[in-house]
Amino acid sequence: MALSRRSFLGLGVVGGGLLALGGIGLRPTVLRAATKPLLALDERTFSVLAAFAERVAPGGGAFPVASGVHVAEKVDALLATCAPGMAAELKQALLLFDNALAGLFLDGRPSTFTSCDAVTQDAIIDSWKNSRLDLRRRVYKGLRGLCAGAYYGSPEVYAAIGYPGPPDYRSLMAQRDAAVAEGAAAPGPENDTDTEHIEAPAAPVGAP
Amino acid sequence: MSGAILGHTDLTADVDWTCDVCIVGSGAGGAVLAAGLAAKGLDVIVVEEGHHFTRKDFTLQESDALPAMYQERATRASADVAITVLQGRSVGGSTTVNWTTCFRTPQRILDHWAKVHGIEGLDLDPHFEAVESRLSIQEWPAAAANANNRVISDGCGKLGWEWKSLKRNVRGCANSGYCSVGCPVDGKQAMGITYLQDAVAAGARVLSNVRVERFEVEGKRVVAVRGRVMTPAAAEPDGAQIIIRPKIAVSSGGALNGPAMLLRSGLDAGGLVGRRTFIHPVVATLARYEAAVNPFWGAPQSIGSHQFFDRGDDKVGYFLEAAPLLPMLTAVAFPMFGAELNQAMGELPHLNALLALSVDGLLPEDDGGTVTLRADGRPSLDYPIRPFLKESFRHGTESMLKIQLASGCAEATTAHVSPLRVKSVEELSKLDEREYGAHRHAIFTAHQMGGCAMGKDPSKSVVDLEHRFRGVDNLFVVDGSVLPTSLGVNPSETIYGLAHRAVELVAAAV
Repeated sequence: MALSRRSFLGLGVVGGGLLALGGIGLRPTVLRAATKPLLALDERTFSVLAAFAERVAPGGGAFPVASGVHVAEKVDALLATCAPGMAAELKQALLLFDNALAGLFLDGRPSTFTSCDAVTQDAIIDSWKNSRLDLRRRVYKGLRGLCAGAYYGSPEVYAAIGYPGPPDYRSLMAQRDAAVAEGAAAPGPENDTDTEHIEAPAAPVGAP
Repeated sequence: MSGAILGHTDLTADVDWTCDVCIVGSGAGGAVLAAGLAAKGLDVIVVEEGHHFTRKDFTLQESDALPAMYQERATRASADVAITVLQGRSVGGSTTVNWTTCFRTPQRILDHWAKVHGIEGLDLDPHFEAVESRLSIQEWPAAAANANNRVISDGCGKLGWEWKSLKRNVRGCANSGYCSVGCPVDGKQAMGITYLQDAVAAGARVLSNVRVERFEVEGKRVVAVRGRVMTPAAAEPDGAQIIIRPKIAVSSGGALNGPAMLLRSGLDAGGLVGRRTFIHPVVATLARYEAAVNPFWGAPQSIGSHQFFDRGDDKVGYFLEAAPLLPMLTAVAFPMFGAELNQAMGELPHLNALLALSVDGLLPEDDGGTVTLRADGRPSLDYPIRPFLKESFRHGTESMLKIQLASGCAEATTAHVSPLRVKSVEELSKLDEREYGAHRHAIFTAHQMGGCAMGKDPSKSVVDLEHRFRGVDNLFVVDGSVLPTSLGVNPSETIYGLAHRAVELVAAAV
């Protein structure tokens, strides 16, 4: 797998070197099964992503766990619509993140991320987040952003964060369209150029 | 041929068409230019990579909108991934998803351009008047501002700082707050329902779902614009070949994409294309209030402050605005994970977000970022965070926290990877314990500018004062990429105005 110098995560030659060494593998990736056919990732990289997502969104209280809203599957589907180079670079990042030899070399941890328990996984993520190595901070930011976005963009999570979801403007507009069809004035430059009608509702029209 | 917006379901066979003007890009620059040229009776073809969405397509769910209507499925970032790049991708460009905030170009910036870049005699006022009328650009009443924006007026008022109501390009706005995912009521006067409709009514053809690969150049002329159809969910072009042979070609793809397209075409203007790219780099703070803020509802930006726009000749200024908080983008902004992230997100209805947008490109040593090409032809933005920007980030962060504290928040928080939380101004000295710059905190850009700088000096600029690409006889650049510096205000109206001015310049060249 070729590494682009200007890659999505900017892994560069250091990351590539670690990946090559990581092929030896002290402990293998713990695999997880996807609930849908994979479109961009393979089983191993999907498993790393799913494990990472589970720590970004571990659930608790009203919060569903990441796997409950299929975060890794959603990221996989997104990647399938992105430039192929981006998916390739993200796969490299995931392999690097799970790499046992890199963990041993840099952290004294001879285990893959996926084979660690949750407490250790959180510590690993935290160490990447605050790492003195720019490469690790990049990987953390890239993976975290994808997982957090996919998770909190899931309507199943809205209730836990007190977000009512978008109001039903389609019904509102259907009513307006019908009124216009019956001869009512439509908003437009001829009849609606001022702000007199604008009100400041506590919540927008149609909000639940 | 009569005007129309055509998409991938229409463009099923290869085409090879001629026209007077082919405009690549349908955003704030391309749309205004297309309407003006079509109104003059010219045969205009606009080519746009994004899809043509209408209000009936908008579900208002971020999970639908962001991948569909933002560049690179909303994953675009700087080359080092430190800066999240929000940039629209649809018929209408970023105007489909922007937050509607409009400003005329500040006089301070115009003076700087005249003094430093030789852009003299640039009278945009009549053009601003024209676009303000067409797009219903008017001040949003302070009484209609939502609680998220009132934090600025409340806080600045108590601190004795300047603030004012902002202008927006809306007509019949429902105050929904969903501007960033496509206006559900056509209240936002985006290009797709205004200037592009004018262009089509005057006979222009808009080809959506077409990625332009390159301008084909022979000698000193663009002889063809070459692209391919790509279906909306495709990762790469997967359809018919599109060839347009225009008398005049116009690059209107915006900063980042526009320069990248020129570079793919072998047009680098002596190495200047892609250089001097500016982004108004953004840092943010969040605050929690006892009362509900509901930052996901209401006009996204209606109050702002330019208290720190001009910080003297040796410092980078910034301006302050609010940010709406829909869950997906909010979660991306928070740099934490796990239970800490859940807790922060769980307070969403009570949160306020402020932004400090640094005004890059004004200091003599600030040449911004550089756009180059990735191996697959996509743009890559290298944007180093230099010391003067770090100082601006630090100062802006403190100002935002002061505003939030003055306005009565229970707690205010930086967007550092290990956030600093403060409840009083006495704690602000702790800001010195934090680092500022790449990967130390969230950094965003929603304003991409430059990369094809306009200027008088051929050795320092890509286009002349009439938008002509130097060295190619029939190529113009009309979009935000021509800005030689950032603006210190949201850029859409400046681009509208420049494009309106460019109509006569391009028409005269046909």
